[in-house]
Amino acid sequence: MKNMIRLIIAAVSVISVLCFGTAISAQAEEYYFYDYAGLVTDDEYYEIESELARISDEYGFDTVIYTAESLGGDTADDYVRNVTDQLVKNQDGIMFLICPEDRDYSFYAFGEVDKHVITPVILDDLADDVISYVRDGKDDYYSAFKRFAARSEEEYIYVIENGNRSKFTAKHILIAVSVGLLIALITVGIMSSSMKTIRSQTSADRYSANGGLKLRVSRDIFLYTSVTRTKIESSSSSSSGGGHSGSTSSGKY
Amino acid sequence: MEVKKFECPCCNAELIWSAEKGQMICEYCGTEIPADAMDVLSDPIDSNDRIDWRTYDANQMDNSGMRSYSCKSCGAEITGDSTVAASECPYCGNSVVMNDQVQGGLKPDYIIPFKITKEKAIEQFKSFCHGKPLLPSDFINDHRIEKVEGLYVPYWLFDCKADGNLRFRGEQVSSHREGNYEVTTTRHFLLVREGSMEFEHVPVDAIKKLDNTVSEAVEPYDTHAAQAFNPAYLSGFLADRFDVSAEECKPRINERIKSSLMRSMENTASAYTSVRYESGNVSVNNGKVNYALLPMWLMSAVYQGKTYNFAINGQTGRFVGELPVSSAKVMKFILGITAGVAAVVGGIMYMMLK
Repeated sequence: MKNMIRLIIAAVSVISVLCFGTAISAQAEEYYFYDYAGLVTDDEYYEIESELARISDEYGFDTVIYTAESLGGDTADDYVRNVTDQLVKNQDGIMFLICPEDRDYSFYAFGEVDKHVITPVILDDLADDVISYVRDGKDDYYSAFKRFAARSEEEYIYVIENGNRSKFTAKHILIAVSVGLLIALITVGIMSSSMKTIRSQTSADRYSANGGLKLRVSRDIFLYTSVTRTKIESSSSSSSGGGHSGSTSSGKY
Repeated sequence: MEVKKFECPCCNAELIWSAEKGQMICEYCGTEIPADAMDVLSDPIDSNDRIDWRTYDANQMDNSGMRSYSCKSCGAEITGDSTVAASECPYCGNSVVMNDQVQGGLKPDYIIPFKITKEKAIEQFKSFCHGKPLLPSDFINDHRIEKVEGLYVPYWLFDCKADGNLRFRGEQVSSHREGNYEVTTTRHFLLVREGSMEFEHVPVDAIKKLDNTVSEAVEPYDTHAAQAFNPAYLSGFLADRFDVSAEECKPRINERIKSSLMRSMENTASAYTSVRYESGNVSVNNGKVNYALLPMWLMSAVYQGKTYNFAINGQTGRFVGELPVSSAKVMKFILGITAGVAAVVGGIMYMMLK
């Protein structure tokens, strides 16, 4: 019953935020577990909610779970970004979205968590770890949520003990070397072309006499007009206003 | 009575007359064609070029006092006066033998005397080698130049008036934004150009041994400085005799003249975003051919068993050739630049992602 009351309060908060913007968003920040799909029991709900609240409070990174009955046609990545912008006031944290109807999931690390704690490589690993509890019909959501909370805390502790992680990876080294190689090949290509000056002539312009071209007729006739319209695609990773920015790891389970 | 059909310039479907709009319209794609364009569209242009070159009137050369040398390797047959003692073929570097008697040949109409000395030609070579980071270090010294020969190369000089009746398609493209859409408007034009150009002394080399690419690369020659032929100009230099007829050179000269005329006409359509040739014809009139000897320094250098040939315009000093490339230097530059740029780019990314 208490669970139902909390869910109703949370639902009212979401609707209020959607209707009135940020004016009352402070109310939404108190919740860390939004179980709209009803995937856990009341006892399990309170256990996970209190665990997420403790972690969020202790480390300063909002650690949130959101279960949705339906994504309403959105992609999991778009949905998790929208929900985070609506519900999470803190600019740093991680949101776990799961939708049993479409069997979609998405993990969204944002702010400092994305930059220095759960970097994209770690996020993929965390996602594999957590989703293993619900994949292949296991559907052990309670364990998945517990594992999400525990794994997030492990990553926070790791950074506290070992310092910030960098998003700079082997992929970035490969990009830097590729750029270097491309510039090197272009430069050496230009140097190489200067070694050869034998090129045939394509015209006889230099031998034109008596002032070059003499035009007798020069007529420009308008034929028709064609119009093409191209839709401007907006970038999915951009965020505006006070929204969050970060990385996602998503898929189906 | 035959009813003439008009094709839409946009989709090639049949155009019909719209009495309401007072212009031709395409029912298939909706294109509307103004009435004043129909007279040009309905008059297809003849795409056949008309070329009229006169036959060359040959004058026999007086070869008295001249020596003749022939190369058994490449077949070159060069001449020179008694002041020249040729021992090597200027084209292939093999030994030449002196003939007892000079065979008759054509007397050139013109000759452009050498203005560039042998010393200046060698300076040009050194100057060309300067600032070439990929050149092997041990290549740059005088000993690499095996031989430097001043040679009068036979050319055919072509004079003509070229008339062109050409049509181009021009497009004016503009774009603007309407909400979430980029709207691109293209206005299509038919460009009619008729005109003429006169050409004087366009050269095409008349020997097979010299690659056309090399003989064209040393251009241009200032043919206004050409003198009436006098054997005295040959003193101290070798001269070759033509083995490619003017007739055989005409396709190449037609190509260059047509290209010049088309490009000049295309350049008059500067108000368009893009212009492409559609159809037309070129006619060459008053085509006249002259035979001339033009000055060229030929030199060669041997490096690691391979011969590198260079040519210098004996009138202007323009140098052409291909230098050897050091594989070790290529690798050094690729590795060095890659490492340097990768360090800078990697460092910037690291700082941004830190």
